[in-house]
Amino acid sequence: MMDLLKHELFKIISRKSVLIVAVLLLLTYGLFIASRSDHYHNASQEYKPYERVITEADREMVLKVFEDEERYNKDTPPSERGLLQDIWDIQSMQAGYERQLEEIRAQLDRSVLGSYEYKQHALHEQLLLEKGPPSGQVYYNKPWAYMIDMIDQFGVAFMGAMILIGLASLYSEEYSTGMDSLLLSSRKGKGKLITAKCCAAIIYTSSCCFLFALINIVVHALLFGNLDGANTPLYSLSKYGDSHPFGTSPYSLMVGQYYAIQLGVHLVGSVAFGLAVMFISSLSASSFVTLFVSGCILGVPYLLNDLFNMQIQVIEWLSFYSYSQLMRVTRLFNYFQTVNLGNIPVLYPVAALSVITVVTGLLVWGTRLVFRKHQVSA
Amino acid sequence: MKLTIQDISKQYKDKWAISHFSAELNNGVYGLLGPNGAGKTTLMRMLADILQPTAGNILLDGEDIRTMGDGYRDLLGYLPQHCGFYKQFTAHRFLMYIASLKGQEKKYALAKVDEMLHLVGLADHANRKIKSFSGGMRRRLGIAQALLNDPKVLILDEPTAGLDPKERIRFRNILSELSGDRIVLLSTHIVSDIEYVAKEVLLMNEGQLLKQDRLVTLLEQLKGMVWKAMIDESQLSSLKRHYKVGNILRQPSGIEVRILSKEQPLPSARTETPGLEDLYLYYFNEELAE
Ligand SMILES: Nc1ncnc2c1ncn2[C@@H]1O[C@H](COP(=O)(O)OP(=O)(O)OP(=O)(O)O)[C@@H](O)[C@H]1O
Ligand SMILES: [Mg+2]
Repeated sequence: MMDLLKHELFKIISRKSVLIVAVLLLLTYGLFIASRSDHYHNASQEYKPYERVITEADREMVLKVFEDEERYNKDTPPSERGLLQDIWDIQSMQAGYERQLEEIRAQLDRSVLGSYEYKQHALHEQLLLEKGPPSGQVYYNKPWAYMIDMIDQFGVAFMGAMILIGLASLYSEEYSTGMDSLLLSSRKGKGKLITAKCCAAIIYTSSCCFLFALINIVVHALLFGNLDGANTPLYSLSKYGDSHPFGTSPYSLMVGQYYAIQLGVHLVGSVAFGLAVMFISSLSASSFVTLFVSGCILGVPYLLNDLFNMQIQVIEWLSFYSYSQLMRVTRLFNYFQTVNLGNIPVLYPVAALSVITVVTGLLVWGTRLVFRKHQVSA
Repeated sequence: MKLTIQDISKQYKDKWAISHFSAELNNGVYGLLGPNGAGKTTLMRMLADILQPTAGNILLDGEDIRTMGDGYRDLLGYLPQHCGFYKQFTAHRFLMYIASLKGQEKKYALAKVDEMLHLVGLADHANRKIKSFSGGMRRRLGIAQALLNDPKVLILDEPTAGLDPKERIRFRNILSELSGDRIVLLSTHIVSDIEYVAKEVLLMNEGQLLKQDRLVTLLEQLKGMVWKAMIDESQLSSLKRHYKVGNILRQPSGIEVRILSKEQPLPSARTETPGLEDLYLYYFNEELAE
């Protein structure tokens, strides 16, 4: 079994296309980093004085800078703008939290006691209360903000491309080269081999995922000079001068905790997609068809919903449970969303992970069935 | 070992590739002979457990190979007509891969792979990538992988296709050296491949078994039916119309022809000892029979 697994892994990574695509992707990564190189600045010292409750005087200072065109223009470095923005945003963030609670309570009043809606709003309220109001401080966590954003954006593209190029041929190539005759007529060909291929797919995907995470963390640590801010609250996470993507997230998490969760869910999503590609590969004798179909499964919901912002029910639902959404992770955690399971509200991340686990289990089982029953008649 | 093929049929969409094929194979080498499209490959795929028969059963020592599953394939060696390879693998790695597919321990496999590479004369090319191999070398690698697990049931689909005469002799020697306690079924169009090694010959056409018998017995039946004669050009076409005409050899003194006929076709014709080619012509060359 171990021998088979090693051979299967070798088959995947010995192909030149895998290497070429990996190199191209890493070059693109480099370009991506270079294009916003002015953002990679360690401003922890500038932030230090404001890591306390922000006062009205601070706001007035910021306002003054905003209005002074000499000091605040397009040449202001992102880190400086970021600090000012972060100080300025404190008040609206606190107000936002209050407003959110008020709205929920109003909705609670309107809902029938014991109904799904009621339970949903009650859960939301409970989570927000656990999270508590924003502390009113400014936090420095920029290395994490950029790192987490990189996985959300480039990480999905990287993993998608690596999985497609590496795994589309998993079974398709066996069919197209005629190796299926030898595989299926061998003792292990209808059992252990299928397990070995599945494990190889998982190991390959995980390795790509860890490789990217490692590169990402090293690059950001080097660019920023440190990885400060792991122990700051998630709601305060933002890139320089950017909005706070997790500002209204109902989850009380620290930035470091969220990073670990993001990596875990990103890994689960990637492996699930890898195994979906494996299943499609077992159905088609053409690696190209597998690549195209799998690419569509990954890309179409993303394009329609995230890029073109199409808000049709079906597409939203598709995108809700899509592989790209799971691999991005952000949308799972940055707002409150539940799924109705027998009148009980289930949190979106829990629902998404459960659904993907069941679907992936079925696909693995399906792959086994398809290959075992494969008839060599071409 | 006894391999029983029980009333096997195989239907492709609108065509019966095999219909009601029954045979019994015991230890020894069997030659499967038939023209293109006879159904040899289809039959062999079913014996290799990679194609389900539409009807009928295949039994090894009385047990259905479908219920034997892995246990049957453990005893099996199979060389497909068009054998696939991984082009980026070396010959050695490829055989090691097949060995692990066959469930062999690495240590055992290393020795066995070397042995096989020697057997098929590829030892010097063990560490070359398969993409640099010629067609004949690939064929030999295919033979090596089929023999890797010392199979008790060996199915070879046109093993000598693409081999040069020297390698064909090597293959024939390998076949005769394989110890007797196994069933070997090999299909071929090159009748001399099985002339000396095959215990019995199975003749099939259009998905059906025409004859299964020992070669000498089959040839015996043709005794007195094979003729040789010298004719001139003008006689040839009328001869072709009335008889099955085999080898036509143009010589300075005229045309030497081999004729299959129950009665003497020409006053000058002399009987010849029947060979495998005559057998092939007799059973499969219907076009000439009319
Ligand atoms: N996948 C398929 N779909 C439809 N018909 C098929 C298929 N495969 C084979 N056939 C038909 O089944 C018959 C038997 O084919 P098979 O390949 O078994 O012949 P063969 O004896 O091996 O021929 P050859 O000597 O050319 O290798 C042929 O008429 C062929 O056209
Ligand atoms: Mg054939």
